[in-house]
Amino acid sequence: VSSLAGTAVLGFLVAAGLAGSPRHGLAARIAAAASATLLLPRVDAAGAWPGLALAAGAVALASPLPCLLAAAGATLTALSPESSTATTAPLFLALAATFAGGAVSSSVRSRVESDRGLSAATAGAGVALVAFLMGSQGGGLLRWTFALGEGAESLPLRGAGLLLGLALLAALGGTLLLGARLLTPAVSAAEPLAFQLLWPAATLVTLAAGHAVVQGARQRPEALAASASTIALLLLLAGALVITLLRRLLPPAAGSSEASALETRARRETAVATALVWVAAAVAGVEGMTTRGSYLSTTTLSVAACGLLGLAALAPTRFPTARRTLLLAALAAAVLLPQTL
Amino acid sequence: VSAFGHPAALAATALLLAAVVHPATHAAAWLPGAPIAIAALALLVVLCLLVRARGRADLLLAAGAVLLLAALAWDGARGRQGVIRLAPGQGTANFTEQGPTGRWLGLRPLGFTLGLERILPNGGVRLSLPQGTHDLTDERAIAVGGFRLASPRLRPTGEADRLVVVVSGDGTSVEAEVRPDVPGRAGELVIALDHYFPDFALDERQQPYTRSADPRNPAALLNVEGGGKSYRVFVLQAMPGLHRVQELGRSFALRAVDPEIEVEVAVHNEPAARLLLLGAFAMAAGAALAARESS
Repeated sequence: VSSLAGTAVLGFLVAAGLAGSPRHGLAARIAAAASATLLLPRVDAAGAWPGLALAAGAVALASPLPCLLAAAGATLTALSPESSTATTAPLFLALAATFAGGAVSSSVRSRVESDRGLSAATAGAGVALVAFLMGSQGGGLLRWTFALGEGAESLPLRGAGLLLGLALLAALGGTLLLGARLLTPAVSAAEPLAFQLLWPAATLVTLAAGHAVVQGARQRPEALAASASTIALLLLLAGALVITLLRRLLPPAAGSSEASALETRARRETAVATALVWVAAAVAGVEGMTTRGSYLSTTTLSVAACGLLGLAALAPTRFPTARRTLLLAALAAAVLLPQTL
Repeated sequence: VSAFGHPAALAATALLLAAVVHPATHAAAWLPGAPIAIAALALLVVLCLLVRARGRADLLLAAGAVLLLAALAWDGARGRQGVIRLAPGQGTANFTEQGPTGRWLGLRPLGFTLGLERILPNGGVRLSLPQGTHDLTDERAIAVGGFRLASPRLRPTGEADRLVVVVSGDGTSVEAEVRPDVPGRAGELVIALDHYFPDFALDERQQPYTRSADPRNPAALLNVEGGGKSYRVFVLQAMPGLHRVQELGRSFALRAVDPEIEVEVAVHNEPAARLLLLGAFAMAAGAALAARESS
């Protein structure tokens, strides 16, 4: 485990927390820049390039989600073994993911001046966390089990299984209560209870991730490296939930003029993300031809699908935040789960 | 047609196409007629982009989409893919074509002669091509005569290149090297290979067969001549000394096997690849222009 990259993870998490408040934008940018410099020693390793691109994007945008993405990228850099394959397409995808994250952050911020908008954002983060916890490890958390790695080389961690199982229950309860509040606004009592459940859920996930990293590094580093993507995604999703929860503690956002500026910024960031995805598609095609002889591969299909999601997100029609979130989800999966490509 | 110009139509068709195309959804496995659905949705996306193209950004996006679709259609119709299988020292002027559904379509001419000189220690191969000798590895494809040769894979053919048989008896052991076309000698005995099973198993009628071409459980049926008589001897590497010929007073064991290896090289011909690249860059330029226009 790289300690410098580990420190960078913490720095990016702090930057994400600061970026949630518009008044602390400069502090967030400084924290992100300081964290990004900690990753610079890994610039020679091709496997660290996406993490570096995410870090650069976090410094440039200083928004909550790009900072969280950078934390997840730094987690991969800290835990993954150095890769010898030097491909450039993931670098463009990581940059695109940063801008897509910025677009979702701006889009959400432009709508959270209403209490309902903030609750919807929190519920969305909760749904994403619950879906990931239920789907990861083939539903193993439903049996209170969690393991690093796969097969004979895996490292079962009962403590992490217990923490994540409890987090799943708390997140599920909190998200359902928030959903009930959104569907029937008269049920106001559900909301405080939901937040009382979601805070522990995010805390438990963070604790479980920390426990898994410590135990994995001590007992079986190769199993920890194999599960680096899972740890990174746990941090990302728990971080997103914490950011939306923290937002409730801040004063309401400014009026409609700022909301309009944020929406314009979200549109611009979506378009930049889409442009970068299509550049990544071209690069992936060229790299496929020069190595495998053909541009057709699961990588190029994934990138093309992200490009199409970008086109869908660009269209000036209803549900822009949902479409931008879909683009972000596809890009985050492409960057943080490269084995699925 | 004007309905296609609505942004919602573009968003919906692009979302659907992304869902069908993305490998994570495995649409090809569960969606009947997936290729037709993909083609129809791609046409709809292009139509939506063309109908609503007004500004420069939209025009570039539409042009990019048209180029991408045209290139994919051209490669689907005129492109070729397949494999070449060769053993070291062999040459060929054909490849075995594989259709888009994975069906083997038979031999097709390459338009040039290709020879496999030798297998390299790094898993690559040295090929003799019209422009000279080239090393083909997993990391770099070779472009020749409109084709791209890539991804060399070593694979056993299911035959043996060499067997080492140990003959024991009277307190001595003698090794004999047996090749498919060259019998081996162990003292006065002549040992020839009758049948080789790389992954030996018995079927439900207790008949021997091989489960795969990989040498996981090698066995062989040998013809042994000695003392003016001929004997059939079965040897299994996992069970040395399994067969003893009482008349000869010898037992036989299979000590080692060198499987016959061939090289499989992937062959691709995608004549519209450059058009596709141009289309992707046009899409990128269109989106970048949209970013500029939105600010």
